[in-house]
Amino acid sequence: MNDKAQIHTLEGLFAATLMVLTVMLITRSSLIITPQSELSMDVQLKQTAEDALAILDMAPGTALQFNLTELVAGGNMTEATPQDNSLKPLDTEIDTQLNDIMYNVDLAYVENDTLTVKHAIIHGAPVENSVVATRPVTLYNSTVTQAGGAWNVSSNDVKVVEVRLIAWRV
Amino acid sequence: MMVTDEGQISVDFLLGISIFLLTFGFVIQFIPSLFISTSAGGSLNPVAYRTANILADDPGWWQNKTNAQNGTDWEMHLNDISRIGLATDATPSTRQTRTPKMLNKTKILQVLKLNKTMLTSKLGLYNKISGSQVDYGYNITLEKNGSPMIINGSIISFGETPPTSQDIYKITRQVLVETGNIASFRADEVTTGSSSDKVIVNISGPQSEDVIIQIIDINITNPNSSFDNATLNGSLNIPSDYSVYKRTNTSDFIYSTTPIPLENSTDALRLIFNHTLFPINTTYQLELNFTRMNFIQIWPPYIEYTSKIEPLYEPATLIVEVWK
Repeated sequence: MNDKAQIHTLEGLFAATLMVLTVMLITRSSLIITPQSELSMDVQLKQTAEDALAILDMAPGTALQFNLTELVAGGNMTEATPQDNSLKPLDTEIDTQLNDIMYNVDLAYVENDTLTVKHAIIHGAPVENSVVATRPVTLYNSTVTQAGGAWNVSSNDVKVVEVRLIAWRV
Repeated sequence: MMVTDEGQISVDFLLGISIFLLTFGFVIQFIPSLFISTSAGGSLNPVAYRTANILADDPGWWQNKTNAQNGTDWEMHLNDISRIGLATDATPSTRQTRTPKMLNKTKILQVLKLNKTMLTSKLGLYNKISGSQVDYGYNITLEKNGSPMIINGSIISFGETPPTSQDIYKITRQVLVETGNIASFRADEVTTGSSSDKVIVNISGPQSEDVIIQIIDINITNPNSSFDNATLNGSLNIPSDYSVYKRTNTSDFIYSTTPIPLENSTDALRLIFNHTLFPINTTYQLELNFTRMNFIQIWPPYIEYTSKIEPLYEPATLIVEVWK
């Protein structure tokens, strides 16, 4: 029996351990795993969110009472809380478009040369695979006055507001 | 006999290389399975997605190679269709539309006339497997509030009934669907008859589609105001000839029975008259009778329904289901 130098066995074990560790490291980082079914659910969710904003934006007066611009213009500019949002009519309209989908709405705009993001509607904390749909609206002094909002837009100026709809399923 | 160790592989090396190769083999066959997704094998999700997108966002296309004509108004050229899309397009000669997601009524009704072979090929709902064509099953439906829409008496649904025992790939899109025509009047632009609580609208016949009249921005001065009924050329309509819907600041248009109380200036009325009331080529005079209302304009000529007519769009859901 020749029992000198067991080093080859140990080498083999080391190599095996290294490889198994590497594989474990890869499988544990969730980046790699993209099941197709989940991906298509995300696509559907994003599409629905974008459709909802687009329809609100494009709808003629006889289809919906207010379009997205009018709904945003009517905002009272207060920061929303989960109990009380600052854009109730917009909430009602989006709610009819997105039944059984949870969502928040943020408004992003430039004020005093800085980008301001204000929460307008809060329904909860978005989960990990939430999607965002955006749609810009342009506010004039006249649209704000007509909608009774509190936006500060001077009569020779316009304000571009990005409506961000964050949607997720629970 | 002489025993020699030369030429024999050492047990130690054999063990080492075996452990290494076994693990290596395992890793090699394990890694690809990490990337295989659960439903990648022949998923029709992309097909459903593509079909829904083309139907909702594209006006379609037709072309006739012999006389070199083309356009997006394929609904007028059913024999030369290249692609079926339902989006409204104001300029049929250019490929793009400014109104995606707004579905055109004529296009929708024309799709219902197409046969299955035509639909399958123009919507691309098939696959070529070793030279032979395999058609997918599909069902495309426009739904509003959970039930299929009905336009001009037709249920807007084409394709087959989805099977219950198969995987069905489904995409839904939110769209605006043209369902008819509407004339929307502000209360301060309607014409009145002998009294200020009677609105008169002229409707020139014949009308092939239901006449929808909407009155908004109603200035209510008396708390007991109401809408009572409508008469056509002096005689009272039976209630089944028309229906009235009322919108308040808390609800969308809901069916109401007359007399309908009007309490708030944000209230709006929508009256839907059956088109069979206007069968011949003449001018019909429609009277809307209110109680305790003060409409301003009095004198003829009376306002024309057709002067304010525009397509009526309603929010709806486009559902595309595809299966093998």
